[in-house]
Amino acid sequence: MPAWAGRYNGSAMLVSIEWLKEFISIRQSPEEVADLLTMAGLEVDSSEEVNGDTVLEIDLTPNRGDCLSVIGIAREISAVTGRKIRMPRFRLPSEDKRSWMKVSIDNRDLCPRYAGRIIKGVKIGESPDWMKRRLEASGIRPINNIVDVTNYVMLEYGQPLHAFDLDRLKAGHIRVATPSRTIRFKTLDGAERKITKDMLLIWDGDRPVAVAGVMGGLDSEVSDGTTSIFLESACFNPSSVRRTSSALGLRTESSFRFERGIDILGVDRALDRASFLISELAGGLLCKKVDVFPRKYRPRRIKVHVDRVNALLGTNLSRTRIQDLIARTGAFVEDFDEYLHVEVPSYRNDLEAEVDLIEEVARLYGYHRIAPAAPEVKVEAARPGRMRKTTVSARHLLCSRGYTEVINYSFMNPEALDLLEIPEKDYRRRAIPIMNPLRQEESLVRTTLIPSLIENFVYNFNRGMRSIKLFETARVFIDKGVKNGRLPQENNRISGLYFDDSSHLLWDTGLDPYFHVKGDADALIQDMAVRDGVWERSSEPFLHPGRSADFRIGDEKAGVVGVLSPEVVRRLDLKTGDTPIVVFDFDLDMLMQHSSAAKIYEKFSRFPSVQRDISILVDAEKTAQDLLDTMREFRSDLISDIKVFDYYRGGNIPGGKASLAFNITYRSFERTLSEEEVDSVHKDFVDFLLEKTGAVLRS
Amino acid sequence: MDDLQELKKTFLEELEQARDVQQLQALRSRYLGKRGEITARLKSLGTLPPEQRPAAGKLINETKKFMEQRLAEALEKLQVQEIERRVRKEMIDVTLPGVGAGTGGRHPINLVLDEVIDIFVSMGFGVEEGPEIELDFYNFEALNIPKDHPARDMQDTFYINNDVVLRTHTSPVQVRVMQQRTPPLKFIAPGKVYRCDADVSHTPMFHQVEGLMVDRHVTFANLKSVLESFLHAIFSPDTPVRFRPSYFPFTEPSAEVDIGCIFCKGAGCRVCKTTGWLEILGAGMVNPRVFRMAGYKPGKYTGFAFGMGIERITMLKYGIDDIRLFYENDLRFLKQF
Repeated sequence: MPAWAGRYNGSAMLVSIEWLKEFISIRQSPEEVADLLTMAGLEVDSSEEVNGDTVLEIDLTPNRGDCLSVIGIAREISAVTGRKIRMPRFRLPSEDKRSWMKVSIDNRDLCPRYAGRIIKGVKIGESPDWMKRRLEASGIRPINNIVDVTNYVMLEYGQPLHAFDLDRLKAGHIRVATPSRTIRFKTLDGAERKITKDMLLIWDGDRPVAVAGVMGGLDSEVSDGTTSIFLESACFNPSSVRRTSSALGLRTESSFRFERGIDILGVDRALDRASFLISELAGGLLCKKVDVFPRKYRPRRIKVHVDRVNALLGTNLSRTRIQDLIARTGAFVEDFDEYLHVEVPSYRNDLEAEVDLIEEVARLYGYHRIAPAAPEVKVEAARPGRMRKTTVSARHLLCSRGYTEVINYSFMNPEALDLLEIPEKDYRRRAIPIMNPLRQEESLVRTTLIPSLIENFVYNFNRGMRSIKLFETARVFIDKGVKNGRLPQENNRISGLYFDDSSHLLWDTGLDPYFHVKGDADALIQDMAVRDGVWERSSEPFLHPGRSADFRIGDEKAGVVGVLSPEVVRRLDLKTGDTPIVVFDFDLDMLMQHSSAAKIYEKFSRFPSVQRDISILVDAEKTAQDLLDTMREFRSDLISDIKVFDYYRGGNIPGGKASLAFNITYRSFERTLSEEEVDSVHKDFVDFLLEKTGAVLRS
Repeated sequence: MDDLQELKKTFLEELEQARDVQQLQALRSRYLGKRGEITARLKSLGTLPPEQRPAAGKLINETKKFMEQRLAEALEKLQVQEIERRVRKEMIDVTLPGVGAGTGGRHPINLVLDEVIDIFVSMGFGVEEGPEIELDFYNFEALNIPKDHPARDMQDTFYINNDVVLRTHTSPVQVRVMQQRTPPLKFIAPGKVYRCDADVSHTPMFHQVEGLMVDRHVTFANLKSVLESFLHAIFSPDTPVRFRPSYFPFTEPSAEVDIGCIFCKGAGCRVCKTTGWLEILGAGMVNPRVFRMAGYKPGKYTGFAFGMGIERITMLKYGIDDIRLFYENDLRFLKQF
């Protein structure tokens, strides 16, 4: 199911073809009926043979409450095929006109119509087989003849009904009202419910007997001992029923239909139909029908402009064709002063505006008959944004360097921040909690990708993998006052993890994994054309203090590379031995800000260059970055490049000292340099370096 | 000049014996060096009577040339032999794997996402993004999904608080762009979306691409054309496509778009639940209410919108049968792409 549709599809409705045939003649095979309905927007999910009958499972969209009944589906088949529909015919036995239930509605907005009838002297028993079969085919369990009839008529007409045990309604006065304070009420499923002031109830005088449109009370339920009933058929406000049922966590066949809107003009007809069936199946005397319907119903009228129909659909349908298609919905259509004037049938609550009727035209005409037409062309270069281009390029780079791309959920375990010893003041602690997380471990929106990558590592390591190189590009979310409705800062990051147990490598390069990953990070920075950053020791709490570096641009930290601290590894409790886990984490937005958007060709010298090497002994605290920074202070336009090519400690090097060797490239933009010229500059350079850094020359 | 003949003969014998470059060098200096046999003879030419000198000199020089030539030939031969020896010595097992065990893998979701984006960019669509943590207003209300609407299910949405949600679709990007710009608009909005749902066929996070085209005369027929082109590009040009009515609060008319099942070619199989069709896209004409929310003058513009799940397309393209594989991040899965 496409994600777009996912949330909007309602739930399944089961309909028997044998039952449908009672209302419309069907000459097609069940497969053809299924196809016809699907292509009209009533998607048939599956069909099942049951005792020679075929039951279709229809996935109804939430706008089509009118199709939550057998007659509703029959109407739809009629609209598509043009065949006439036959409504049920029955004759009510004579009523006892002297006896009725007193009904009053306190809140007309929440209950625009309420009808009911007392039936006395019923005999509770089993329903006949044909009725039980139809109920079961529709997914409803038969209970007794009274309850079964209410369900049967609900399935037939789409009007939910409720039967109360009359003897339990002591006050003899039905009221429809919200409570004045929060009360407790036991519904017929035996659960005690908390009813708040906005929930509509049915009252027997001062005593609640049902949650309107959702479920009746346990106390007034029809039972084997019932002899008289009060039968309710009403219309309740869809939003009100929806709010109540979702607040109570109580979804019923009844609430489901009320939420989607029922046919307000069909309320009394369904009541009569049910009364008739009860008198047939359970006997009893029908009393006078009560029908409180305070406001006069006015059908909705919509004007449709024929040109707009064709303009929106890209069709060329004639006026009469459009009129005919709209009329098939059961609407009354008149054609005058350039518009089609449409009076919408009372059961089509979803038809509210012109565009809804245009949809009906398209639907009943058939989407498949509308010929595709390429849009009028406007020649315009489209290009994805810079961030996208950069991300795509970075992904390719890391993949070609051996990393595999992962995608993790944007969630985070609150404990992850503790595992990484992230301090309280750190921005990564400003994580936003989700109100209704699926699991406690996924209750925060993540502020860093590192915990997910560590999880991925553990997962793969535990499954025997010993070369694990991962990266992810994703957003992290930093709280900026979401409590006050301020959206968080969404920051694009690129992070990775590197673990390679070299004991089973054919070509062990003997390279320190830290430098391997730093090389990847340097490549990434170079790929993004970031020019002005420097590396310096990092103080990330979860990284090895001696084996981690921040990448800083100006005063801002743009990223970090480092070996996971032995303490974090110890807590992970993995048998990784001496092989370090190296991670990197970069702020893509910041790198982008500092990257040169367009590459500009830089002039280079066309004359040959000359190399000189220098080997020095310095205090080990001095970093290569420090030394390079100092060297760059030396003023000479002849130096084009300085590279570190050797680093060594221990052995014959005195303690606290490090030996470094640099390779310096000299060249001129004007001429080929002579050896003497280079020697002279190089000597000045060496003197400068030794003086500034206190280094000594190695022989 | 018998002496010269004798010398030549000895030279050739010795040349035959020479086994390496050093021996050849020695031979050369013995015969042609400053104090060599030939040099000595050239020097002694002066002792001959003048009339004999030219003939004798010629003979000596001929011998010298001869020797030089043979020495050069021998040297060439020795060098070739030496290289052959070295080549034999340097023989390795060339079938051993190279250094660095190859490249990593791209995540299949991002591979397909990139492909989808590229196709729409080639059709002139721009690419827009929006926040993943979104205001309820943009995620629902502005898309004609008010609170208490049946299309809105609390169970499905991750809430931060009453006004802020994890976006449930990329549709809010539509609204944000429409609020900022006037038509013509033609763009897609790819990205992550979230729903409070996790089972065999749902993950709480997944990827969507939403598309929007708005102008004065955009029609449903245009929508069909654009989506057919797209589906033919991402699957294959002979893939059957069908549109059938559906419902989305933000479009009217709304359509569900199916493609002929790519596994059974429409014959009916387990994947398509024997229908021969696979749902692939939701689409429709932008509901005028959405235009109103965006502040456009009523009736001025028409447009279409569509949305698709990337997981679904990826599963179909690669024959993946379990959506959860995408987020387990098992290298044995990811390395295949």
